Amino acid sequence: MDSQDDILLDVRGLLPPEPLERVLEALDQLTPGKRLRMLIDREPLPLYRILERNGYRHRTSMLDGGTVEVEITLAS
Amino acid sequence: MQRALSLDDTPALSVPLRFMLAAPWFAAAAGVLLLWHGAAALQTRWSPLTVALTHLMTLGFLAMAMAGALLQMLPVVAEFAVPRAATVAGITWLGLVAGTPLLVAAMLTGLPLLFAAAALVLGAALLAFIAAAGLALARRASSATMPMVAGMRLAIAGLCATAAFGLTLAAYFSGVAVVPAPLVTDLHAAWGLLGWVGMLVVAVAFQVIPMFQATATYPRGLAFTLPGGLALLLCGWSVAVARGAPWQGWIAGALALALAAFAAFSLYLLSRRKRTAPDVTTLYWRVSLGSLLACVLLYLWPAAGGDWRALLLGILFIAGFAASAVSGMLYKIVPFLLWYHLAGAGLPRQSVPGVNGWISARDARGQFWCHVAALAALAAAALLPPLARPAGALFAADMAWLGALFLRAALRYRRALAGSGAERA
Repeated sequence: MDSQDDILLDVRGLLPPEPLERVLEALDQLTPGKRLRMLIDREPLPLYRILERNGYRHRTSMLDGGTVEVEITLAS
Repeated sequence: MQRALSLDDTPALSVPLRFMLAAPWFAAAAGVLLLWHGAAALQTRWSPLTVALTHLMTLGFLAMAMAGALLQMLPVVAEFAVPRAATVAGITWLGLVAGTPLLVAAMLTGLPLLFAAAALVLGAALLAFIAAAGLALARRASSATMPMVAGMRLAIAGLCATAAFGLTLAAYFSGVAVVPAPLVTDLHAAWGLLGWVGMLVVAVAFQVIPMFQATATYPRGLAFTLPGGLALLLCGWSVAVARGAPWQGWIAGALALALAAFAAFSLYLLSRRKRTAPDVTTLYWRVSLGSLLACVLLYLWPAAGGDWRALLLGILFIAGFAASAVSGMLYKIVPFLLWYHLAGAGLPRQSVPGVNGWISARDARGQFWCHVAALAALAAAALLPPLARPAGALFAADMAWLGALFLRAALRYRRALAGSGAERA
């Protein structure tokens, strides 16, 4: 379900730690009601702990071809 | 102003960074010692000068950097909190910084009192580190981190054995114990180089080569069996050597072949990596694994003999394989840590350099090629002793360059942090 408020961040093909660098930058643009959709090659386990500690919600789903999608929103 | 981020369970920056900033300078000191003494330092592996030089590398550079990297990696990658990380880091770092020169001085002078002092200081440092890392690794690991964690556990056990044999030798040289010194020396060297250094590089490579180099992953069978296989072979070899058994050569050959298989397979993975442009860490891995392969081939070569062979094996393994792998990894870890901690400090994003902005690719490449030249000169000096001084000078420059690049990056971090504090005030 796409929404025009979504921010799409495709970090597939980037080597660690570049995906982490990009997503932390993108979090600055995330406002209440907006959703950040991140596409990445592998599950970003260290990111989950950062998100949980800083008041973000995240949901992970596996897409075709091994891509992992992480949806990030601000916890209300 | 950006909001400050709480960055998971990562330890304070000073915990790992002090190890990484200090390590290259001990390796540079080894280069200076070689420059100072020239060919006399490369005559036989048993000369006190050569042994002193070796310990500047193994304790001052390798153990220092590997301890710092483990204190960082255990909580973040392997999800194990290290108990009292700041205190352990302080004791281990101080012990290595003070104990390594003490041991080198003991070896150069032969004074029993210095051996005793070095043993006390290094013993305390290693005990603190082994206890903390051992406690952290004793916890249950998740299946995703398992091959690496299993290898890390074996590496810590290997460090424990190395330290025990080393302290026994120090007791012998202090005059408080009588032991078969040549046998204990061989066991100390084998456990230090294969059981600790080799084991940790192998275990970490299974995780970081696929992750940071975008290669295919290692077959799970290899990742699970190789560390345990190496440990079993090393135990078998130790028993054979202690008993003077004639089959010790066969076990040593099997150990060499296992390491060759690891090096060859890793080089194969790197040759088929998805990204074509190699970064400095890729280059360092190639040199490291190529040196390991050359070391094994030389070891298995039947016709080669003499003092130069043992020296060349040591140069290929310590400076070629281990120091190159560690240098390449430091190029990944140091800029990442600086960026990570600055990004979490709540500074405006534009004032935080990206991960690749701390050390320029040009500087890193220059330092890498200096390292390659130093390695070639060191290997040549094992055969042609007059080359020892130029090789020492090159290696000192190589490692001082590495140390200076990390130091400059760390100073930039301090300036960025101080600048933001001034703005806020």
